[in-house]
Amino acid sequence: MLYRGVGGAAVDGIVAFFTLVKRYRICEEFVARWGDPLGPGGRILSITRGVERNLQVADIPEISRADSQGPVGRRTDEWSECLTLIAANQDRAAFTRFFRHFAPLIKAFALAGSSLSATLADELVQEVMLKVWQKAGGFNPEKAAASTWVYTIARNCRTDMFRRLQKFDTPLAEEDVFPDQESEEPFALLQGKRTEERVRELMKGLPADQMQILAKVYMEGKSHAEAAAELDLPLGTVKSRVRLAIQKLQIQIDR
Amino acid sequence: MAKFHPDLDLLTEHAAGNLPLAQAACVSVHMNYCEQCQRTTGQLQGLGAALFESLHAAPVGDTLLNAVLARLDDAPPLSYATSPGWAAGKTPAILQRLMRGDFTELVWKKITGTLSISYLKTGDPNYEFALYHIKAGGRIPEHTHRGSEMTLVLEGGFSDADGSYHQGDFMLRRPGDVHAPTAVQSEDCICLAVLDAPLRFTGWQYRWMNPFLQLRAG
Repeated sequence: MLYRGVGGAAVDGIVAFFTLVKRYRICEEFVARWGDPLGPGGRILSITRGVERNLQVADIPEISRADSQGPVGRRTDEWSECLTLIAANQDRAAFTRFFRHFAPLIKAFALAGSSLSATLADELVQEVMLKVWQKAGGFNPEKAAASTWVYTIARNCRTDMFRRLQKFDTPLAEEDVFPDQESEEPFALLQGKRTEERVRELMKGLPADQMQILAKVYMEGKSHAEAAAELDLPLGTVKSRVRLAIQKLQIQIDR
Repeated sequence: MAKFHPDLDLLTEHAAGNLPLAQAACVSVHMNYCEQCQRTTGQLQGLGAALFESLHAAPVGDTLLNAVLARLDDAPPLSYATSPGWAAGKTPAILQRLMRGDFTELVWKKITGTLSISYLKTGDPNYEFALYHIKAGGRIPEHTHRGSEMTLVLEGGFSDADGSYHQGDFMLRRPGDVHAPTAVQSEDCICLAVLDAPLRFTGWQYRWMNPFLQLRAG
């Protein structure tokens, strides 16, 4: 009994130690790459160059030490705000801004892997944007970035469109497969959002072969087996590259 | 709390929206019982969103914008007073959608003294999507799989040589896996099974049935 207790504590200690080491190394890598995000003269603005043109000056909040969200957090905030405005006032101006930013991405998603014709891609853009208009009230900015929310709608609509094209006679829509989750604890929510931001940052460091496969799987909608056939790779290689990428992005598989 | 989960490959394919409808529905039912897989899927969707954001934007003209703006009046915002979502303890919403009623109202086809099957229609042309009802303590004759089989425990539990499974537990069997599941003694077991090829009984008492076992896909 005692031994077990002591052994258990030792194992816990070792796990905690390595978790810390891992965390520390992430911070180090992050700082080496981007500079101290909280430091004076924050290099954050240079990172967000591409983002700035989409932001009004008034929209850029002061960078304070308390704001550890980083550039991506602020960027998503503009789109979250649009969704809030749409939900609250059926604000067409906000909708138009949202459309101009996301419609080209939705269209690119529809065309990825030349899975849909240009006409169908436009149809998908319309469908997704109408859903955005209708479902804005269900968006919870605490839970996810606006882009994640739009991505899941686009993914669901595209899957439904594929099934319609294949003449599936089904009582199910992809929204039934991915229902809106009930609200979780605030801590879990915060963690989820931080994870999203971390994934975005770490993705920049992924090797090209892993990015290529992730793009096939997620953007082109190819199964692991289809990706393997297209790239002329063994299925095992595709699976292990996906798993490696997920590991590098520090996506937690807790069970 | 579920102890057996879809592996990371499956969760990734699920989050990317690439699983066949019947399999996706089965994984979705597992999520109903499993917060961990919900969280992991959430993160895997975050990965999808990050890739989505970094796509090369395809030009979209004002014609399309105007077309959408013109349709907004016909698309009234949905109200979110009550969220459907996941609700533990209840029959998962996606199954309710396929069943119209509860388990007792389904048409059950008797296969052996202890096993009945009810086929649900998902519209997926390649997969059978069925509920298995095993009487308490009952045994499914030893069988092997010609294709893949996803199994998810909805009520009660069963065990086989590899372990014992309870509500929410998910298993993926591959071609050639042989097993003879036995339901727990205390209560009847209801499982969801998704197959892409019919079972094949291996025991001599039941082998004669094999030619009659057909996949009820659709």
